[in-house]
Amino acid sequence: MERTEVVVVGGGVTGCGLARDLAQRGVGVILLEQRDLAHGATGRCHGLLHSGVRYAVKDPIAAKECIEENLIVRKIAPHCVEPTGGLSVELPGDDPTYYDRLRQGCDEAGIECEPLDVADALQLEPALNPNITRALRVPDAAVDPFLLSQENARAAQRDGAHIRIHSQVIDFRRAGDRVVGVRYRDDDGEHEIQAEVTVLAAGGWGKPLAALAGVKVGMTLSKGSLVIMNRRFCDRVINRCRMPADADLIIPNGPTSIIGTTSITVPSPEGLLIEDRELDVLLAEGIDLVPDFFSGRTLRAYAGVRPLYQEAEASGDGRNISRGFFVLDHGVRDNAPGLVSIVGGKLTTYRLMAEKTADKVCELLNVDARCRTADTPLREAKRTPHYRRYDRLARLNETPPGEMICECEMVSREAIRAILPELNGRADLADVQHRTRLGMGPCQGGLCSYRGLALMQAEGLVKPGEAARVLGRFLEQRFSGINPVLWGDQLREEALNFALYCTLFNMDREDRS
Amino acid sequence: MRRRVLVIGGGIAGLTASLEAAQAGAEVTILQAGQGAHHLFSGCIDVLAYPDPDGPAAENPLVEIVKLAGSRPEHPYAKVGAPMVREALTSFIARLDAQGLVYHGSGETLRRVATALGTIRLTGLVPDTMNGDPAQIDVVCNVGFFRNFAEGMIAAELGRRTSRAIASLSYGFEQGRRDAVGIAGQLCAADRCAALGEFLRELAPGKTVAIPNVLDAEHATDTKRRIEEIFGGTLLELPGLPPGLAGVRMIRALRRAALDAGVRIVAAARAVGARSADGLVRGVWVRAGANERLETADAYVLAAGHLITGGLVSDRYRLREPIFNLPVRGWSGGRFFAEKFLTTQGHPALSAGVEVDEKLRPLGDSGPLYENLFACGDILAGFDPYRERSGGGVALATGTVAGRRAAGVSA
Amino acid sequence: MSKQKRIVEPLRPDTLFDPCIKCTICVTACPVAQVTAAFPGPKQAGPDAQRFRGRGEPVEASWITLCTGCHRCQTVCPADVPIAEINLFAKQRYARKHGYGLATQLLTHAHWLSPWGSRFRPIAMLMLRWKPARWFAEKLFGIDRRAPMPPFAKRRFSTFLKKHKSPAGKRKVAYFYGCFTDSNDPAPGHAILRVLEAAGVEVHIPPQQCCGAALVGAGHFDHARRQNEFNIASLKKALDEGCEAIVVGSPSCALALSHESGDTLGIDGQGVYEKVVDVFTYLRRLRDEGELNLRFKETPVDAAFHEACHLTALGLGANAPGLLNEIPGVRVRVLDAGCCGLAGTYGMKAKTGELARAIGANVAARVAEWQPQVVLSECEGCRMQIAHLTGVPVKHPAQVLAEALADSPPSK
Repeated sequence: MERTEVVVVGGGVTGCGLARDLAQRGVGVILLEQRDLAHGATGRCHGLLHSGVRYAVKDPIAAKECIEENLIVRKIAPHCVEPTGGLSVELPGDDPTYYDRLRQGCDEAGIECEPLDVADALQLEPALNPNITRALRVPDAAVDPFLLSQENARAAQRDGAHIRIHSQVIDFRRAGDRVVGVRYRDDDGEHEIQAEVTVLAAGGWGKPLAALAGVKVGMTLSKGSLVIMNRRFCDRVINRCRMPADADLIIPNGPTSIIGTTSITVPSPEGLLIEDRELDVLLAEGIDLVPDFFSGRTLRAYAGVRPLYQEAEASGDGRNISRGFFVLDHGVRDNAPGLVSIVGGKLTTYRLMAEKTADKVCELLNVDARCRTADTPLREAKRTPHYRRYDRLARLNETPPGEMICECEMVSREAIRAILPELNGRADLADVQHRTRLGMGPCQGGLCSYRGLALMQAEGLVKPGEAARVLGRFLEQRFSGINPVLWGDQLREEALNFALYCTLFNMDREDRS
Repeated sequence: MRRRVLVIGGGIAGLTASLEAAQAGAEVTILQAGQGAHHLFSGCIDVLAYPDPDGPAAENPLVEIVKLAGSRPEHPYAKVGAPMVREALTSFIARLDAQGLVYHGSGETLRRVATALGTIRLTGLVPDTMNGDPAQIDVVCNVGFFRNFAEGMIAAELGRRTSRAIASLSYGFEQGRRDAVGIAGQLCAADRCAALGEFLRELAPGKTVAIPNVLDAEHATDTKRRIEEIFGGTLLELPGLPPGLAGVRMIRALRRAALDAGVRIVAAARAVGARSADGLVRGVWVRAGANERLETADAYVLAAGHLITGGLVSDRYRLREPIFNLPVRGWSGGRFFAEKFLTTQGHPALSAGVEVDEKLRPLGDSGPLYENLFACGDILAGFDPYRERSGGGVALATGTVAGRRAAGVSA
Repeated sequence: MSKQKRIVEPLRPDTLFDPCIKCTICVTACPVAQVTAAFPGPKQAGPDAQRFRGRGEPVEASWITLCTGCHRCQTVCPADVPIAEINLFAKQRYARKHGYGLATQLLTHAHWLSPWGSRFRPIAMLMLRWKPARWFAEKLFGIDRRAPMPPFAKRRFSTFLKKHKSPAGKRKVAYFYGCFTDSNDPAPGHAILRVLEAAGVEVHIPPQQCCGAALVGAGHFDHARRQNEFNIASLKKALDEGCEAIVVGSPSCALALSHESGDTLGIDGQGVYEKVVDVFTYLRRLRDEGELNLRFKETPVDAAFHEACHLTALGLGANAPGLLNEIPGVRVRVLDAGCCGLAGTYGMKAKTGELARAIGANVAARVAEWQPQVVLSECEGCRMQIAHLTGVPVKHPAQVLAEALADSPPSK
């Protein structure tokens, strides 16, 4: 039986950030993630490093939190952040009082907010609706949630934490009322870990997991759907200068643009579907901000769930740190000592959420160590630059033709070999994708899936007879996000991919069980 | 004055139609926007492997094609008939042979071709470089660091019961490009070609060796022969990711045949519209750069392909034929693709296209729309070439009929 | 684009790559990819890389300058991705950061230099053919000492045209002759005039400047734009005055005038672009309308025709072989052997001269195999390169046509 001090359930950015914080404080941590890191809301969000401008009017405390953490994340993880800056633009018909209330809210929250001439805004971003009436410059930024989670996990590992993906918690170990660890399942079967504290950092899965532990955590799951376009339309985050609503945010993400989002209540974080009516909203409203937006190529759509915590009956010792997130000590709250949940929050404040949770955990463990994550860079390099698209382009300078595995996203053999050890012997192209961006470009894995598979096979990760299954699984995963927005250029792409994998490679007729 | 025939599309269907029309005495022009999609396919001619999505492979494609006349009259094969398919396949083999490219097979059997995934695909006609029984493969050998060929994976997948040796020759190829074009180019050089031959003679003299699809577009036959002479065995090219050089070879040979037959090929010219009057097409609008001009002829053949090449275009809800605005049939609306990507059922949009009569004239609600317009190849409705593995055969057979009809002779 | 206060990188190339479905056919057609590993290939250099060219971000290494601008990639693309144009913008971006280099500066301003070469012909011809001079030119200016160099005209074509009045005809065309015909080799210009006039066409010579093909190819848009704004205005006037077409002798000029001026340079064509044709497309049109009444004498010529890459890119077809083969005695076979490699100034630079020769090896081999009496091409660059690589005489196809006219003197 394995023993540790803390088990963290959930490998989203919060769980990874928590593992990093605890490990840095010298606490023994095992993180268990049911699929791959950032599988849940983290990997399905908009990729926005909030300046707080979207909360400045309705929730000034959250806004202040956002801008403080925004600046910290830029400092500790510059390579995960593209400092794009942002604009908040007002269109005819928007509530004209919002602009001033926004400026005031930003002032109070300490968010740099600078009015911009419409002409200047249009020169900076020629794709914007030329009819915008006013514009503000705000310090939004774009963040890569996959990389951010992975970098936290790697930092945690360097400090001795164990990160286990494809490990699903199926039960809790009890000693009377006390929670003393977990039971989990992976490819090798079921295992148990004994832990002094178990933390649920599982986002939308926190509710069923808590129930498994006999504890009630009230949550509303709000689905948000987003659409990825093949190219950039704007280099800055574009907000609409009105009370935040559906489809009023366009964010550059590497070479793509992402528009979102919607909000529909769903019962579970699993089985999310993109509905046509959500697409209708995104298509209709997106063009208000950028008129040509949908003349571009729709690449794929995805949906994530915002797990919104509902303070049920007694607030009691729910440790209400902010209106955004909550650290729940189930020992105090539910007579289940040894179990802690971190719920609510957003990606931008992950580090703060992790800090407060780690504080609670250390309190329970009687460990006296302070958080240093705000001051320690995630990557141990002398100067880590911010994300730039050029760094991908520069790979063409060094990589001879034929050495790129994914040409759409400029992923070389080297880049893939470097992360294969993190797969722990499991042949999973999606895990490669999350770490390198293989298959995330226009061909959506059409050309590079085979090559990625070949590389894994050469490294001994693919067992004989397994190739078609591994490949097929990845192709279906890619396709499930493409199908909802499959028309135009992407439809042609999928016809090509079908020609390749069915007509040529005969995969429709291969045994993929 | 000779009858003028304008063929829109320079893929297999268009080139075949143009060759037939030229042979029938017409003055033929091909307008092509690209150069077809042959390099995405294996370089083989797929005749018909899976007539039924839920059923097994056809044992005798031509026999299945005869059945289609009754069971699926909307299928292009049913429109032209099995004898025409047979004739078209024979003509294809003869034409390519005249250009120095040998193809094997007939419409009566399915040939097995191993792929770079280690799977087996079933097809009709195979190029000489792919002619061989996959079960006979002794060694799987990569060349030149080629990333589109996983020799270990192929050997493992191919031989579940028997294992095959794997090999890889990279020495001497370090400075060259590591893609198909680059490796093919290097193999054209006498010393590289001999190096591979000698490598195989050391390793597998007299054996059957599978290599990637890297024999050059112009010199494949020679290169293969020279290597085989040195090691005394047989080389077998395996089709894989694009660019499929075997397909490039095929289209270049067909193209040369067309040029030799006096066909005029206008490249970089996309047809974007048409003008018509009195039940006849009067001209086709052609875009080159941002400029449009009208090209006229006596008869027109639409061989523009399907979605990939722009013969059909789509937006969120519709499929459209963009040149003549012909009604698109064979798709009942709704989603373009099925829920799962890898399905034996095929995808709805891929069966969509232009419905034609037995003379291959596109149909409206009350008969053929134009007397002088004919359609052939992937643009046709009523079949899914991807799922069935029938694209090449349909292109050849319907290209033949369309070309002859356009030239004013009977098929 | 409207006037900008600051330099904003153009958006246009970002709107061009969406249709690319990664089919890789362009890589099979790229002559540069056939001969070197230093160039990633049109797909990677063009639509793939463009997604990562961020405004205000650093510029990639010099591999983008290895693109010859032949447009073959674009010609074979099933999705109409203007790959060559994307690469042009990338070359402009590169040049803005790194400059153009002396060789490129000199060669793209040939339209300033060549008239002096014509004026001081004996010296100019000597300099271009004298090995020590060529050696120096390579060391000082980066001009490949083994590259073909153009001849210089004894009398500039424009000088001749000043005194030439075309006989009135019921059809009128404007003729754009181009710098090379003007200062280097006027023979094709004379032939084109002769043929058009023999067909009863009145030929107008509108005021014209260099089309800027070499400038655009090097990424030097601003200079080319100024020249073509002048040209478009002048050609528009010619059309307004009754010219039915703008006949262009050189395919690269035609491409610069009718495709690149609009798409890449952003000049409003005012109806000019649709009217630009190469000589043989115009003659074919006349023939199709039954209006090409030329009488030929028996002219035994065994010729090979090289279709210039830019002629293909025009999308009008190569109409010379068909027309020439109607002349009694003339046999024209189409080489179909790929790109000749010169790519205008590309093959003249020391940096890329070797590549140019490697690219043209196929064409040279086929010419050697067929042993034609003469090789025909509308493109002056192709003519120079093929003559240089093979030693076989070269001509513009219009010259064969002119020599075959019934009332022409016997040709040499």
